[in-house]
Amino acid sequence: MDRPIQQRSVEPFVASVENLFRTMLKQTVEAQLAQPGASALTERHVRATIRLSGDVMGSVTLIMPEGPSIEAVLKFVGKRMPFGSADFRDAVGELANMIAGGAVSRISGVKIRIGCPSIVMGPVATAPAVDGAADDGATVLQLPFATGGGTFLVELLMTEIGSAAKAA
Amino acid sequence: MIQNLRIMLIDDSKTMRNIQRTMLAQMGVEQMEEASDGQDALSKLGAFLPDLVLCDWNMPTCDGLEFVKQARARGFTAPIIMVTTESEKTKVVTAIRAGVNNYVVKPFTQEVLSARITETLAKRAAAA
Repeated sequence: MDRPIQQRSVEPFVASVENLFRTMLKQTVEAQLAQPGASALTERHVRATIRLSGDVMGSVTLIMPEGPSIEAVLKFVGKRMPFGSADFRDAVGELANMIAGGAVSRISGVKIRIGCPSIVMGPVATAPAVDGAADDGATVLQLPFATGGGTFLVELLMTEIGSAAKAA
Repeated sequence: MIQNLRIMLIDDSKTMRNIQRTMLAQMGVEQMEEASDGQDALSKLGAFLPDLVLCDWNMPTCDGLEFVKQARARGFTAPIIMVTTESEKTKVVTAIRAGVNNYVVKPFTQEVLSARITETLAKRAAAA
């Protein structure tokens, strides 16, 4: 039997993050041990959430503390942007979009559609509730990544929709 | 050859337009126009008359596929390169049927973008 979708998604998301940072940020990232549970950052950070639909319900959220996010945006766009500015939020959203897009194409056996990114500035933000996923008992899985500028997270909340549910 | 092109960049993300603009400028391209969605692009096509279009697929108002259909229906014949995420690659056949000439998958490097443009222009020249 296949492993749960979140476990099957770890390697695709790691590969997607590594590919994005290598290709467009010219930076290496080191994936660290995945762990269950949502993050509870108290420092300033940015969250970019992409909603997933199709055979899988849920979301993927890129969570970057201020320092790593400013550095990532600088390397991505080529210019320093104020933390939280409209252009900064757009850039972080595009990073999340590419991570999600790259990952879902690597997950075999399911068709997943990705939505447009929504951006929230922390620390007041909490992980968004996603229809379907939480109801099925899915828990958030954190994928930490280390860069020269600090650590950031990709959080997965995914539930595979069964054939009976899809037919309903 | 690339540096003499008039290129239109269509993307709802200002970030992606900036990145593509920077890459193209480093290739020597000077004449560029930006549009934030397909509708915006359609309104600018007649005035700018691009030699090539780089068009995002997933946009909220008028997406890339709709832009391509409407542009081709209006007689726009210049090459269109679709910019997609890997998850959208399966839609490429649909896009080509609608009139897309090539595609580039995000994330991409400047070298990949340059190669895709060169390849697209070469195919167009060979077909002429």
